[in-house]
Amino acid sequence: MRRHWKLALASLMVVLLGTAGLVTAAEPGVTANQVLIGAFQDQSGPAAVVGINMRKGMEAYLNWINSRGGVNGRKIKLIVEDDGFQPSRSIAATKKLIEQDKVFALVGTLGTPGVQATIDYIQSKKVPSIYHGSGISELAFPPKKYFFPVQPNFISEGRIIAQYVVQGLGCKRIAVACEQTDIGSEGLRGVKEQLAAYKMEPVEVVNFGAADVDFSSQVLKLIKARPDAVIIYSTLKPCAGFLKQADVMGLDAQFLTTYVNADPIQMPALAGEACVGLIAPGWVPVLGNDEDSIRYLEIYQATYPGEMPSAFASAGFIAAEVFCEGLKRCGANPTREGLVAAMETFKDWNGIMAKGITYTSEWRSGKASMYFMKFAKPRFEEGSIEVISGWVKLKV
Amino acid sequence: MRLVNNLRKGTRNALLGAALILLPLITIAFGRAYVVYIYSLVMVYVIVSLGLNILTGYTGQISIGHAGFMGIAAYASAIFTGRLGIPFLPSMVLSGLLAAVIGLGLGVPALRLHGHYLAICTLGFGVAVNQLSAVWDGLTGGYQGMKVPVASILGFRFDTDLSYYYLALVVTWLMVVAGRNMLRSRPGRALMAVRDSEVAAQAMGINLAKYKVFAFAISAFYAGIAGSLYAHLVKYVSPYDFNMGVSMTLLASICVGGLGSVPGSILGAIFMTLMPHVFSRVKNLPLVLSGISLILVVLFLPYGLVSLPWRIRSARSARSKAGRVETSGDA
Repeated sequence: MRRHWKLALASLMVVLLGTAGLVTAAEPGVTANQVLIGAFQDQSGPAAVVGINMRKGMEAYLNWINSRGGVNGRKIKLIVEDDGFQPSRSIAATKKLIEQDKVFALVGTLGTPGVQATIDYIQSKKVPSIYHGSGISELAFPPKKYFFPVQPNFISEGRIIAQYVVQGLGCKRIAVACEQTDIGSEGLRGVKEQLAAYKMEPVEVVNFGAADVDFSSQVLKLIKARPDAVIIYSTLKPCAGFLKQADVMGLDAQFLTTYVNADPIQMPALAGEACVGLIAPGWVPVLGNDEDSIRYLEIYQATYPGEMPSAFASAGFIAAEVFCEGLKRCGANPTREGLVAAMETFKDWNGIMAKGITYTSEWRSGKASMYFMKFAKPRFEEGSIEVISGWVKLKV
Repeated sequence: MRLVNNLRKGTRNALLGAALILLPLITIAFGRAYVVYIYSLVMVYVIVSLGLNILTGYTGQISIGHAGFMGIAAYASAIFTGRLGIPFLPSMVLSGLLAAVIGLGLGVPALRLHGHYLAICTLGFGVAVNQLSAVWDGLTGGYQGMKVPVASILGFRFDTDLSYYYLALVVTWLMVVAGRNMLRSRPGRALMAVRDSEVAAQAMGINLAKYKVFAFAISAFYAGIAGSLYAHLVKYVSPYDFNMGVSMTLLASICVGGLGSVPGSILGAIFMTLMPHVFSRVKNLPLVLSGISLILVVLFLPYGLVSLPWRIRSARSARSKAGRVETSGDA
């Protein structure tokens, strides 16, 4: 038995000291010809399909910009840490990147759990963190000095939807149907804030649970309120259920919902005829025949020949684009504080795929614009989704 | 003779203790401060692996749902300290006890189940706890998880990696010593008797039901303490921390380290926890390595990594006796 203890002790020391030695690769964040950035992205766990593609998008953009000489004469090097989508590992990864590799900034960190677990640490280390693969409002509300989220959160999305309903569709009587989760409460908060700017308020607000299947009492309440438009803030299943019930009970209004439900396959499959006419916003540009799409494909396929980028790759591409623009504005001698100041000069900035990005010291929901699309057919086929607006910009 | 042995044992423990106390300081001196956080994480998994080994290695009852116990206690600890304002230490003990009570409950159906059926039952438990933590928004914060306050004892806040390391070290030390003593006394021998032959154990007057349920409860208590320690280390709990993958990793770590061995539990936990961090920049390598190591251990070292030295020694003595190389082991 004693031998076991010796062995356990010996290997404990060897392995632990070994790790301390193994992971040495000290690199400064900014050198004369390189800027080092890092991210934790799941490469092997439950969100690997997102992480692997985000990384591809980032690498494609960075390869392209490096091949053109980098940013202000410095090439960008990206280190990706695989955290397996486990927050305990995201923390270790973030500490490793910041304390050991001394990365200049974190760009494109993935996942609500990892981001949640590391916010306080990153803020305390004063490391700029740009783009997060997470829609939580906590990243932007209240604004945090070193955090520059790009993906829309439900509060700013709610404001954009409300702006579109009032100014784009000319609706006067607006009702909201909310799921009793953070999606519903944050979306409602955004809608209310924007309506207040027009000196309006919702004519009716109804609530339902995420697992509810019967919406008759809520629909009845809405019928009594006679709304022009109903904004459904929920996940996909109750949204589809709500639409069907409203259709059966004859609630006649324009329905809108969050970008989460803009699923061209699942929504018609669940709601059928009832989803025709539903409007939802989107934020990643649809690939088309325009100049930017063609350029994006060229850049992506230079690194990954013949491969069509997924939506997650576009997200990674946008992350890299936004960071590089910030770095460019930072000038010849980039510092972390300088990057924060440079990021706050973004005003409705358009890159290749990144569109309408705005930051101030008060406004940190980077994506201040979305476009709107309409479900045109009760099943997924050619032309079942129509893009019905250009970029709707939120006035910040 | 016994006195000499005790003295030697005392020196050894003192040396081990000193080494573990110095370890983070040396690590920081080498400029690897963040590794201290990983050490604490390793200790969390040492505790839960030891607990699982008491159940699986010593009592012969399989569990593929141990992350569930960890999760229950981690959320409990977060709620006790964060919402109810209970101090850290009592809330850690309460969380452990809560896990133990639930372990007791799971132990009862386990009396009638063996092998695959017990595996399915515990698997179901693990998945159910995980799902519940995701959908029970009001209590757990759902998929967004919840933040956990900094652990503090009598006003001292364990808010640095170094101070938390020492906290975790004390807890781990206590749990390991307690576990080892329990296993060497009557209940421990009873558990092993149950594992080796239920009929023989009963013939010797061991209450089968009592000891099986006891094994589940004590094992869950270990997982619970580990879960609470985890919650205050990471300071955030979410459903992603305690899924089936974690339960599987725990089982793999005791198999790799050594079933039915305290040092084996420690070794396995160190191996399985450190590997993903060492190779976090090489895609999928940790998964492949843990798979390969599991296969190699099962094929060639059925008693785990911990049996390596005596395997080598027995091979050597066989060689010197027979004057030839013995290639196949008989363990």
